Formats: sequence, C-alpha cells, structure tokens
Amino acid sequence: MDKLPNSKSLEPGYTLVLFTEDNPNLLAQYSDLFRVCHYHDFAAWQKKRITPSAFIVDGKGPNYITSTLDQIRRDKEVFASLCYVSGPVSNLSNKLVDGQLPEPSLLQEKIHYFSDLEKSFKYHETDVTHVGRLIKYLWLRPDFILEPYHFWKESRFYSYPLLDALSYDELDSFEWLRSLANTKILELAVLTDRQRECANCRSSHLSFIDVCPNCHAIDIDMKSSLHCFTCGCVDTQEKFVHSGALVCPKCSTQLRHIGSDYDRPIENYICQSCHHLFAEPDVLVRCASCEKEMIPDDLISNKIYSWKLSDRGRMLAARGDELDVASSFDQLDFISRELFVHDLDWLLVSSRRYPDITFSLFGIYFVNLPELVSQIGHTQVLQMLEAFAQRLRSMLRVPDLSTRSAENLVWLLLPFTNEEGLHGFQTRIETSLNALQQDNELRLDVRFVGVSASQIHEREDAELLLARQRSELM
Amino acid sequence: METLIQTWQVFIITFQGSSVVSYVLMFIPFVLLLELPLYLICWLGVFRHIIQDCFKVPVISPHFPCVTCTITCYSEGEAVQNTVISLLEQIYPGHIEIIAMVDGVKQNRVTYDALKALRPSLSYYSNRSLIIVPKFQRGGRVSSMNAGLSRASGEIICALDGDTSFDNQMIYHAALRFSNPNIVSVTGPMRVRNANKSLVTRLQNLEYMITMQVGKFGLAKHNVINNVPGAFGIFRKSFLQQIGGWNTGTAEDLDLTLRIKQYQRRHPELRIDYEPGAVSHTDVPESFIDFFKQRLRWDGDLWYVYAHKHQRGFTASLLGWSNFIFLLWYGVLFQIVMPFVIVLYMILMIVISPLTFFLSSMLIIYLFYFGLTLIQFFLFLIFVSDRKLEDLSAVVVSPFFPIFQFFVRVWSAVALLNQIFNRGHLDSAMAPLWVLKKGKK
Repeated sequence: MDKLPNSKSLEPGYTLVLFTEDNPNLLAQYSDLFRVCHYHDFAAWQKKRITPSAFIVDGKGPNYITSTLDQIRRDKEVFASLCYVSGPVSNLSNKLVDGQLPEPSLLQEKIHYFSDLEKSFKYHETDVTHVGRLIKYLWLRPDFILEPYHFWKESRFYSYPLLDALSYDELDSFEWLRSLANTKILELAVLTDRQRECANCRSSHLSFIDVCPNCHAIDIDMKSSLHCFTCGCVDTQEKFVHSGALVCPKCSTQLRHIGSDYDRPIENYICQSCHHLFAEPDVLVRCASCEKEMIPDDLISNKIYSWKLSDRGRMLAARGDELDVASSFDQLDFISRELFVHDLDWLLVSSRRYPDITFSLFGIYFVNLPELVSQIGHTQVLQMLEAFAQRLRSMLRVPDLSTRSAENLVWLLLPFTNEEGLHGFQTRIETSLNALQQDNELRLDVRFVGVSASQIHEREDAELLLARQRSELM
Repeated sequence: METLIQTWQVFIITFQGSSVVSYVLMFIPFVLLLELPLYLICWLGVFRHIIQDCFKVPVISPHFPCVTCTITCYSEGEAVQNTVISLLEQIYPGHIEIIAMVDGVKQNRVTYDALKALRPSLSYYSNRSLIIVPKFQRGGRVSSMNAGLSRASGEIICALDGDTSFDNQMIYHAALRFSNPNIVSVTGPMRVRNANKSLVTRLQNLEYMITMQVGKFGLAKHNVINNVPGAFGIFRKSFLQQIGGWNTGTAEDLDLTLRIKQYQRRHPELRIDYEPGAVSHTDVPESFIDFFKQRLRWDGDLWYVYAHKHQRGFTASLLGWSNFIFLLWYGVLFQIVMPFVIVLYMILMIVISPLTFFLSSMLIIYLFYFGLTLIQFFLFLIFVSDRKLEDLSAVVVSPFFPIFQFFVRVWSAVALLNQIFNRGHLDSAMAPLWVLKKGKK
C-alpha cells in the first residue's frame, strides 16, 4: 500500500499519510509539495509506522473517520500529529481533528509552523504521562480550546473525547480536568453548561416525579377546589356543584359570584391515595442509571467548561520543567510568605517600641508578563527576568528578606533602611532595569512601591500593610 | 318657623276640607295617566312571569352552544380581570370564547397588561378561551363591539363592559333562553357592585332595583322592553350579523334595541327577553358630579336617538302597535315630555300659589312617592330579589329616594336641552369625536 515518493517533486520536505477507504488519488495535487503515502486503515499503517507531518483521513462512513482519528490520538508516538479530514465529519470526530484539509501551500505553512512549535517543546515527560501528552497536544495548537462533546447516550451527557484518547480511558475526564485546573496547567475558557447529576452515580439521566407532600404517593391529580366565604369550607369543585349551581356542601349557601361569595384556593392538587389537598407537589428525582431516588437538593451541580492551556502549562512546555516565571528569582532566596509576614510584624512592633529601629518594605510588580510571553516567547522573557534578578541580587544585603505573594509580585523587607535609603534603593533598581533593557523594543513593565517605618500608620499590621501596598501597585 | 307651622295647617286643612278631590285632580295628568299605569304594567308582567314560573316544568337543555363574550375594555386597568375571571368561572359545560378588545392600547397599557397576565390561569379551566385584541387606533365602543362580532365564533354573543362582572350561572341561564328560536336578544338584572361606597351609589342601587330590575323584567314579559343595555346585552349572533351589528354614534344600545323592534310588525314572533337568573354586577358613579355627568349623556342620547336617528322608524307600521304605543308613552311622554312638565309645573306653583300652599303640596308629593317607593321596594324584595338579605339594607336610603328622583327628573330636562341646543351627543367619552361625527346628524 505504501506509495513511493513522487519522482517529479524536486525536494518534498514533508510526508503526508492518507487514510482512505476508496479514494487513493485524493492528494494528487499535493504530490508536488509533499511525499504522500496512503493506507486503507490504521492497522495497515502500523506495520510500517512512517511518521508523517500530517495525517489526512478520508472516508464516507463516520465510524471509519472517528475510529481512525481515535487510534491516531491514542498512539504513543503520533498522538499529537496534525490530522485533517476531507469532508463533513461527525461532532465527535470534530473534537479530535484539526479541521478540513487546506490547500497545499497553506498546509505546508501550517506544518512548518507546527514543526517550529514542536522544536520548542521541551517537556520531556511527554511519553511517560497523560499530562505530558496533553500539554504537548495543546502546546502544538496555541489557540486550541478543549471543548466538551454532548451526546445523549453518555451517562453524563458530556465527555471529552480527546482526554479519553490521551489518557487511554484510564482517567475520568472530569476528575482529570479538576486536577489539571488545581495544578494550574489548564484554565477555564467558557462555561458551556451547568447540569444536575445523580449524587450516587453522577448520571445526568434523571426523571423528575411530582408526588404528594403528605404520603409521597405518585398518584396525584389536578383538581380545582373552591373556598366558601360564608363558612370557610375548602373542597374540590365537584363537591360544590349541585344541579348546575355552586352550593357549599357544609353551609348550603349558594355561591354565585367569584370574589364576593367564594374564591379559588391555591390548593389545586389532590392525592388519590390519601386525599390530601395541596398547593404544590413535592418533587422527587429518580436516576435512570442507578434507579436511586433523591430530592432535587441532593443532586450535584456540575459545571461543564471549555478549557485552554494556562500560562503555567505553556511554561512547562517551553521550559521542559516545573519552573515558572517567578522562579527566575530563585537566586534571591525567597522565604515563605508566612515567615515574611511574621518578620514584618516583628519589625513593625519593634520600630514602634524603639524609634531607632527602622526598616522599609519594597514591592516589585511585573505588569505585562503574559503579554510579553505571547509576543517574544517564554525563553526570552525568562532570560530578561533572570538578568533582572541577578542585578537585584547584587543590590540586596545579607539581612534583606524577600518573598513573593503572587507569581508576578515580589516583596523585599529591608531592615535598617530609612526613607532616604529606600529612595536610593528604588533609584538604583530603576537605573539598572533601564540599562538592562535599553536596546529592547518590548520592555518589561515593572512597577515599584516602597514604604518605610516612619510612614506606616500605628495601627497597621503586616497583612494590612501588604494589602495596602498591593492595591497601590495594581 | 312660622311658615312651617302654616304649611302643616294647610296640609291638615287640605285633607280635612272638601277641596281634597280637586287638589288630588291636579296630579292626575302626572300620576294617574303616566306613572301609575306604567308601574302597574311592569308589576303585572313580573307577576305573570312568577305565576308562569310556578307551573313551568324545569327544562335542562342538552344543547350548550358556544358562547362568545366580547368585552369592550378601555381604561378599566386591573379591574378588567374581575370581568374575565367571572366569565371563566361560569358553570357552563359548553365552550365560552372570551374576546377582550382593548381600545386605544397605547394609552391603556395597564388594561392590556392586566388581560395578558390572565393567560396562564386559563389552563385551569376547560372549555374556555381568551383572545385579546389590542386596538391601536382608538375607535370607540361601537368599533370595539363590531370588531368582536366579526371575530366571534359562538352562536350566542354577549356584549359586555370591562367594568361589569357576572354571577357564575349567567351564561347557563341566558343560553337556555336561546333554545327558543324566536328569541333574538336577552338581558338580565344589573346589580350595583359598589352600592356601599357613598350615598349616591346607594340611591342608584335602589333605583336599579325598582326601575331597572322590575321595569325591564315586567316590560319584557309584554315584549316591549325599553332598552337592552350596552354593558350587558346578549344576542343571537346570526340575527345580530343580519341587522349589521352596532351602528356608530352614541346610545348604540338604544339604537340597536329600536332597530330590533322595527322588525316587530313583519316578524311579530321575534322577542327580546329578560332572564332574571342572568345577573350582572356593575360599578356606578360614586360622586354626584360623575353621576350627573353620566345622566347628562344618557338622557341627552334619548333625544338624539328618538328625534334624530329614528325619526322615520317611529311608526306603528314598523314597530307594531304595542311597541309604538309603548314607545310613545314611555319613551316620548315619560322620558322626554315629563321632565319639562315637572319643571314648568314647579315654576307655575311657585309663582301662583302662596308659599305655605306650595310647601304643603311638596310634602304631599313627597309622601306619595315615598309610599310608592316603599311599596315597590318591598314587592321587589319579596318577589324579585335573588339576594333578599343583602338588598334589604337599601331601604335605609328610601326616604331620600323621592328627592333624588325629583332632581334626576329636573336634570333630565337639562340634559335634553343640552342635546337639543348644544348637540351634546358629540361630547361623549364613548368614542373619539371623529368617529361620533360620522354618525347620523
């Protein structure tokens, strides 16, 4: 089945693998630019395992396309490859494919871009873990949104076919997504739906049944009832009707005019088994999957989101390890935030008791990190930050403490630094930052805030002071 | 004080002396010729009905035709919901189609919204439907009613007002009447819903009982009913369509009644009936000013209809003799001539007779009418009233009733003059002026 490289093409740089049931000539016009191989199905390809630049799947039956795509995404090596289709596809396949087959030149461009991204990918756990595979898949598709797939036969209505394929069905997609969100690898894109699920089996196939609030029997009926103003009797309408007129069964008053003789109470339901009259039935939920009954309040509300790769996820992909933006400052020997707050409190108290003890608090806030990353790439941003951290370190003294309360927010506690000293410190930082990036077109946007002991209000404690300074920075 | 004592003496002397006969004769033209026979005829009709009712075998018709209720709504606001709910509440197995026309929907948004708010409650009733027709261009009552007629799908059509509500057997009783194919229109008792609001509503309540309920009841029995009121008229739709629905201009109800009556000579079997079981409840003006404004319109319209619109139709060859005589008697003499006679007579008495004599005459007249009111009221209470206990309280205002009636009569003369010289029918709230002007001058 393997087709030899086209002899006419001068230098076919990329290989395309075509899966087709009956149309091997589909890619005739692509042969000038690409080396094309075609296979009848995935199993046939597996014998040779030629790693292509892109897969093209063509077939009439939706099952053929879906199963081929699914097999590609489950493959240990080529799972992240570009996959295109040549015709309409089912909703399910749509979640696994990169779109319709583009024109040859455009395809070439896309593959080129794709392989550039592939080169910059450094996360080497790819082949080992599910997370690694997911990060790679998403890294190679910068604008990719991981969307849920709705199918009524699914017990939870929604699934993420891509996640199922990448995890070889070993993980529950919803659980996995939660852990990915907790580790900040993925972030929310759009809230697609919110649904109730069975508290027992998490199925969304629920039926709601109206029952009598008194005896919980399901045999209830809508019955108009009347309320006699004369004696206050409330009963079903049929008890009042006597030879074409309304007569109260208790006091025998003829009820002629609504509003003046009688009205309709809000009790509109009657239970056929206990004859209880009531205004609103209770609602019971029965799960169609596990057949458990529960009240609606017991149901679990599940929010269905679309997801995208977070900054941290991109960082992992680009850096190849767990380092994030602020980790470039690791050379500053950060202490934990709690310890920092504790020390700040201690200094606050000390300076109030002994006026000759003074200190300053200094905050550094990086405003435009995400923008810079998207404009010049992670590597360059990290280099800039590392250079800046190096300069900063040379300015700090041994007793100076530092911490960070957010990824882009660094705090410095400078003991025995008064207002004047603080001012000098800030000027030095600004000068060195400017010197650092004078040639750069895109600059690191950094904001500073500083406060010394004499400027701090008497009642302020460390947490309050940090919060106030933070709000000045934002 | 002296005058009062003298009046009392004159009053005593009048009854002791021989001049009593000639004195009483002074009232003959008013009382004996015009009023008493009219009351007598009404009461004879009522008794005829009651006696017939005693011997009648109750019939329960197996046929419950579809009934369309067209409600003309204007600025009733949320009160219109009462009307619709009272119709939904009817104990009637047949279909009831309710068509609510909101005239000038832009300025009457509240009414329109109140009607729309009722839509969900419709599901609680079987065999009921509600159509709301928002009329953007205000066209008046007649235009609304004709619009309702053109959309109606029922055999029987009830033309109702948005401020009137009904007992829950109204349609059942009314529809039963139409099982007689000769009945073309039915009306029923109108009760005052806001009777306890003020003195003027209490007086009107008493007036509605004695003159409207008894009067229409009795007259209908002789097939000479004076008017099928616009707020509560029930018609056979085919007949109503045949005669072209309502005609433009004010007093469209009286106009329609007269047009039906004009078939009497050719089709003496046709009848306008009164059904005592089809009870409606309406709001009456709560202040004297509003009351007199309403009567200025009503009484003025009498002249407009009799003297302008139906000048030619006022003949026995169309109306039949009984209706012609009745119209002449009740419509012309009682309603149009008598107010002027009373006013002139009054002026004459003040001018020619001494004050004491005048006052004692007034006292006698008052006592006479007071007695007449009491007799009629108790007859009504015993034989006609369907809510005897509730109606009994109306007796409280009966001493004021003769005075009230006197002023109503005097005002009636003013209204007629306003119509004759000022063309008062063009000054009506029932329709915009450009519509009223299209009516026959």
